[in-house]
Amino acid sequence: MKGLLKGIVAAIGLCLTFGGCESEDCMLTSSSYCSMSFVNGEGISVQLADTISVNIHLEGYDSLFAYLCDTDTVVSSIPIDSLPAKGYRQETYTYRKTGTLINRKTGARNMELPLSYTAEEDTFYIIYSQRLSDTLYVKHTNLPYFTSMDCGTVMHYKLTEVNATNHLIDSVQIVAPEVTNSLKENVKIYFTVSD
Amino acid sequence: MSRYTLLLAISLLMTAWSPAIGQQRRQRTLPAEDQRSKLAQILDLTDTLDVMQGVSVMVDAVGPGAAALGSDFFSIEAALEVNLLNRFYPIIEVGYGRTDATNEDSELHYKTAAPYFRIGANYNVQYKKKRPGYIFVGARIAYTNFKYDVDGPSMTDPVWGGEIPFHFTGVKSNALWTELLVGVRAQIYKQLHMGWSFRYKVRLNVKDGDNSSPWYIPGFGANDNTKFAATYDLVYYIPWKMKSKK
Repeated sequence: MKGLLKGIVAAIGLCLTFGGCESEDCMLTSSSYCSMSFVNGEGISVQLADTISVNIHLEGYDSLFAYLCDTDTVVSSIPIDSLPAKGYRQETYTYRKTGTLINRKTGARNMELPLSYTAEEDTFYIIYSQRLSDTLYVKHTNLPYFTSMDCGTVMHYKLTEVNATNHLIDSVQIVAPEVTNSLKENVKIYFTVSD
Repeated sequence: MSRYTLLLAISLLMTAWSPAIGQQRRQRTLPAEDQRSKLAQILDLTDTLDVMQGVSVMVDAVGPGAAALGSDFFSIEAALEVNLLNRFYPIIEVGYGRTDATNEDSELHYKTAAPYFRIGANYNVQYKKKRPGYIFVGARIAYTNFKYDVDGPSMTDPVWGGEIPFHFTGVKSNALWTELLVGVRAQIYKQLHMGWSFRYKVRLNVKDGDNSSPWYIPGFGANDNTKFAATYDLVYYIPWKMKSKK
């Protein structure tokens, strides 16, 4: 019985010790990236001989232009409200800024791409060194996620469809549709050329 | 942590093993008189007792005390315990847990309030000693069904631009967990007792929402795989009729 009592006392001590040491561990990264690996036709990892850049078109801003009817002459000094009555036409253009996600990376075997929080289809322009390019279309649903009070929020995604043009890319395949901040391979990109 | 679990398991095994030893001793010393005394003999009691020895009601003071000291979590719970042969104590615990907290750094806000239930038993490891205080080990299975609200600042896309609101209300969840505990009871005055219990909680299952995992689970505490906790119980003991046939 004495041994048992000692055991209980020890258990209480351990209980109090561990109880005072609890803390919350947050993930090192609070952003989710779609991880894409480069493979050859047999599904084996390849290292690209070309450099690779990835650009996107960011959210744009709208500009209104006024033209003389049947001409390309821009009339910018005339109040817009009075234009239709005076034989002018007006058109709106959306200007988009290009953002570079990857800039001439050499020897790439994979890439991690950020997806949009608000759009459900993102377009990535992949540019190779030999002036070739491919375009990658990624459709996804967005899932704002509460991790904890200390670790905050993070955006999760679910991939629904991935397509690409076929200049150097042969095909693309979703291998894990859930995109979270724990990095794992989501997409395989099959290239027609290998190292 | 595994050493601690092992220690508790050994304690439970030791207490579970003791009736087998007692049974051998009983065959030499006590005759079989009736069903009740047989049970008492099997359980190695030196006195023949009514199975039903008493009932206790108790409340925990740690939950309200922690909230008063600034904890984000408030809980209050009461329990009904039955004393069987001064050795086994089946118990039902009913509580209410609540939080309404905002993190100053992340500006996230989480709110929930719900009841929780536990059922289990304690085992008096000093059942041979005739005194009001004792040391016990115990186990519980616990469950709660609750809804929670979580909201915070809009999420701003650092790459593509744009932002989306973060506001979810009435997220349904439930949780199931088990608790292993050790504790002490001591008499304060007549029928009034007090006691501590130290608990190791193991989460068995929790239902996550589509956009969140619950941060606080009523009765369990902050959501985690395991957790340590303590209760400080004020106990009112109502004795039952007791026979002595020695």
